[in-house]
Amino acid sequence: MRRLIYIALRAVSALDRWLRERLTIAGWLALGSAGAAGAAGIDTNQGASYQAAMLLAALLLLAWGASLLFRARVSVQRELPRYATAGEPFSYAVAVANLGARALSGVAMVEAFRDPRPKYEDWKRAREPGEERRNWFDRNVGYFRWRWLIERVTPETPQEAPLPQIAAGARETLRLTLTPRRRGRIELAGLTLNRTDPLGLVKGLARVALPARVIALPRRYRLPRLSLPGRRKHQPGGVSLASSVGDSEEFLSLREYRPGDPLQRIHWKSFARTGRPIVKEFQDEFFERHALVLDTASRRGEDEAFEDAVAVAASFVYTIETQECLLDLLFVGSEVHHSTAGRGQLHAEQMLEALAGVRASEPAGFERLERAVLAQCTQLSSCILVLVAWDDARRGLAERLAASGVEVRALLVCAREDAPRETPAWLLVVHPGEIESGLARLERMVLR
Amino acid sequence: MSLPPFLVGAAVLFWGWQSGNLAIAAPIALALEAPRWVRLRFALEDADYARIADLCAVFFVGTAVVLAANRGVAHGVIGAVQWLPAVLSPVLLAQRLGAADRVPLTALFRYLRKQKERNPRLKVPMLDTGGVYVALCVIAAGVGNPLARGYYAGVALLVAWALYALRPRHASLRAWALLFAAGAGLGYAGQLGMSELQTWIGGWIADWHMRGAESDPARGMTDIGTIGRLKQRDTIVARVYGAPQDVARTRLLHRASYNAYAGTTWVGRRTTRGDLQAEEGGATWTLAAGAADRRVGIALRVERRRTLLALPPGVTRVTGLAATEATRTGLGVVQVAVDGDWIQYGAEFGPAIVHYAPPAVDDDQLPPGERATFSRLAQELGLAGLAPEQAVRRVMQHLSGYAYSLWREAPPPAGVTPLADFMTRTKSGHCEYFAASAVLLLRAAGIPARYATGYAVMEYSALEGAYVVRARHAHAWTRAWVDGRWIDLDPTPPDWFGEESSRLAPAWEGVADFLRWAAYRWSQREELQASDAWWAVLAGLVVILGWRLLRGKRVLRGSSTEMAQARRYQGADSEFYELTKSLPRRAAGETLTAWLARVAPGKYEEALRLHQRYRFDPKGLEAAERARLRELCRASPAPAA
Repeated sequence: MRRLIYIALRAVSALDRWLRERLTIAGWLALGSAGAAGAAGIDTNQGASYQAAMLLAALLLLAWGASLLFRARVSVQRELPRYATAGEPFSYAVAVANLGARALSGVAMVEAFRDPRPKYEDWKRAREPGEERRNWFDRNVGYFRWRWLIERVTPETPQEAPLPQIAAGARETLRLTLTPRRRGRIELAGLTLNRTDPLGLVKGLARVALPARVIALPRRYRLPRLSLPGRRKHQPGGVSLASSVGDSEEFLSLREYRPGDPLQRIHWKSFARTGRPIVKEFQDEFFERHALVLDTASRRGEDEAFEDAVAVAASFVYTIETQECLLDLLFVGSEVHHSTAGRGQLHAEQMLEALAGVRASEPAGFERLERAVLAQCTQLSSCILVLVAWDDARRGLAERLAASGVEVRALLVCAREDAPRETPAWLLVVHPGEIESGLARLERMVLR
Repeated sequence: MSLPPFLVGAAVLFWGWQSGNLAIAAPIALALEAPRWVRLRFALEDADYARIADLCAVFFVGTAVVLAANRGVAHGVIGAVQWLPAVLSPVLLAQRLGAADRVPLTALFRYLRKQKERNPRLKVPMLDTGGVYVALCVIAAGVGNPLARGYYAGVALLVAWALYALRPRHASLRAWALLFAAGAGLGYAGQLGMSELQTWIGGWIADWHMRGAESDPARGMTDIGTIGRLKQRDTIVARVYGAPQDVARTRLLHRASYNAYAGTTWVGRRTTRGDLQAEEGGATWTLAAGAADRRVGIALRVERRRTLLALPPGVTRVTGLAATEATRTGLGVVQVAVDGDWIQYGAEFGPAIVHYAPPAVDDDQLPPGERATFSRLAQELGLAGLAPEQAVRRVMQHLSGYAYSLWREAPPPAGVTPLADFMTRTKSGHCEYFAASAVLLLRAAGIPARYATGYAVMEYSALEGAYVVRARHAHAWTRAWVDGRWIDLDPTPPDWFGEESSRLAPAWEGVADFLRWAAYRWSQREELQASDAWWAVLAGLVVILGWRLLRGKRVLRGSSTEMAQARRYQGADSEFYELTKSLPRRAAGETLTAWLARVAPGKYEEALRLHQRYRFDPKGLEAAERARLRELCRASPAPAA
């Protein structure tokens, strides 16, 4: 039965796409009117509206036939940005060259996406945020889940961009705009040129395959000025975390090789001179290191609060200057994800790219995250916890971090109705829709 | 998509013309087109549009409920759809009188309103409801309008008007005209085909589904030869009221008779047909002369507008029947044209009265396929030498040895007709077998006979205080010409009725009958009528609601397009935009300044400076500067591209 529902959803989705690509607004009105008039006039002895239905159906049929005559021989190039931001429109240039023998006029162009329909297993396994609140029928038919799965990988429906008239052999550049609905990857399949039939009901299509990809980074909020503690801590990574290569000012001395020393530290000249392996010794590194911990163990899946939690985490990545310090990002996916930016390590964009792909994890995933955070608490100057739920385990993590000398800032992002009744004074609770105003209080709320 | 001027008004007038409501349509059309001349506008908010749309929804539901209460659910819905253009006109009027000239989608869908309440960031599309309104006018004009003179031409004209105005600029007028003409022709052929198809399907369904419930004066399909169990329905198709002794004489209600048997179908061949004239205010119809001494009241369910009356034998007059026309055939079939789901009439009848024609040549004919069997049987029964009464008695006696059954195991052997198989081998069948066999056997004996169909009146309902006739009580019997008059003979074994009732009546029949009775009683009540005073109260309420909605604070002046532009962004009405349209195209990413320096060096510097101040300076321009901008933009002839 579920398989049948899935097949039906696929078919309806395909029909919807077929119609959306081809029908103009007048075409939609004609199709809807033909359907309504046909239904109202199904008994031809009782009314005449079937006549209107037949007229409109005939016009649509002929318009569709005429639309098939549209041909366009073009070559297209687009200059896509690598990154975009969720919810923010981005535009890019597209160059179109007319390779045909006749001028192109009345043509519009629109971006086409790779088939976004989910696979059966994904559709069956996925749970739309808030699905448990839907009624029995909606939960079992899964239409809203289907729509959610499609919308999370496609941007908002792009507007068609009209092409100016292009003479044969000429070339024109225009700008297309896309607005990612949410963070993640946007897979572009190519560009579609269309032109309406003489009646203005149906568009004829010419497709140009041009696969590409844009990564939509999480949206971000304005953060208040944060003064993170300037306390430096010993970093055992030493020079491997240096911001430059070559001779280092932190060089201390030469010493004999000890098992475990990395090979690149061998001083080959001394080795040749003495016949024994000699290694370079460097001064130990002390600098600031901050951790940004994103709690992904959400019971409600990737709902609005979860997305805002990711956005808040992304805002910290943008804001914290990583020239002179290190920033660790920790979250749980299928395993604990740990990346470090700053001082020549990853750039902020790469960290944001990781955040763009964050998925909600099982509620049990928090334990693994907690272990990973505590394992390196001795190197941390401060820790920012972005939480999506509040319980004893989370409270315990914050307090243990504080007890080990780390300055902790904890934020809980949750819907207003899910907010815990009692929270400690150092926990900042923010709600979707009021994130920025809530974040303004962050500076004062520190657990030491 | 913006509609051409006056299309909405024309569509409303078209609806008024087709639905006979021109007096209502004309003021609506005027009101909807008036905003073209009237500069009065109201700054309606989303909530105001939502209130107006809700009010329209209440009107629609109210209309549907009143019409459904009066004419039944199906007619109620159709009637409400017919009134849609009037009921929904306030939404379009609000759009046209509103500053934005659009209606927010939240006004039309409560679900979206809730979504918007939950998520204020949700973008609400603004909708031009004009196109949908025109479509509704066209549909409503056709609903419940089967005659529809000029409907197709009118719709084609409106569609052509709209499509012509919206046609794409790259398409030539000739291509447009050619395609539209072809579409109009194809649509015309298609609607003729649809009508034909419906007639064909309707006939097919009537043959298959309505058998027993509906009769055709010219043709009577039978289930003779059908394999398996006959499917029969419990629906009540008639009710008979009257004194017990009168109803006792009305066991068979006749609807149609046939004189020729072909295959498994009875047809009425070469029958005369004449119109009946009404008397006494058009409700009484005399069928035969004679002294009637009995009377029954009959309520008959109407499946089609032209229906066959169910009449007792020996009927002289039909009273209280409001039919627009009535015809009678020589076979005793009375067909009337009536309205409504049920008709009620009285039937006066008496003994030894006949209102239909004496035997003709077709009443003696044996069909070639059955002749050998029935001639041989007549011979075996020795019918040839007997007087008609004796022959009739012997035929009835012979058939009384046969069994009644709704079940048939297998088709007859090859080369044997179902009727011959019944007579010689199975000796078991339902009423159609008995009636048809008796007719043919009597004809073989030289007695003219006809095949009659109608209903058996057997089931008394204490709930209704009347005899009820169900679809499964449809019956067939024989009419024989004996001693110079037609007599009704029912050769089916008398236990058929009890057998059918015991086997077919479902367990829930009592409940179902109660509901049927309640529905019938409901359908027979008086129509709800609103007096003029109630209409006046309703109109007053609408006026008060409108006044409350538009009161005071909302009056603005200026054309809607200007205001819509002003709402979009500051400086949107700058003439500079018109000027730029006539210049060579601006490259992507090129600033206005760089572009003008390239295409018209030094020519528009002042205009550009003023335009940019008008566009971006919060203080805007002084009146003189504004005039200067206008003058600069209009005076400058555009250079050749």
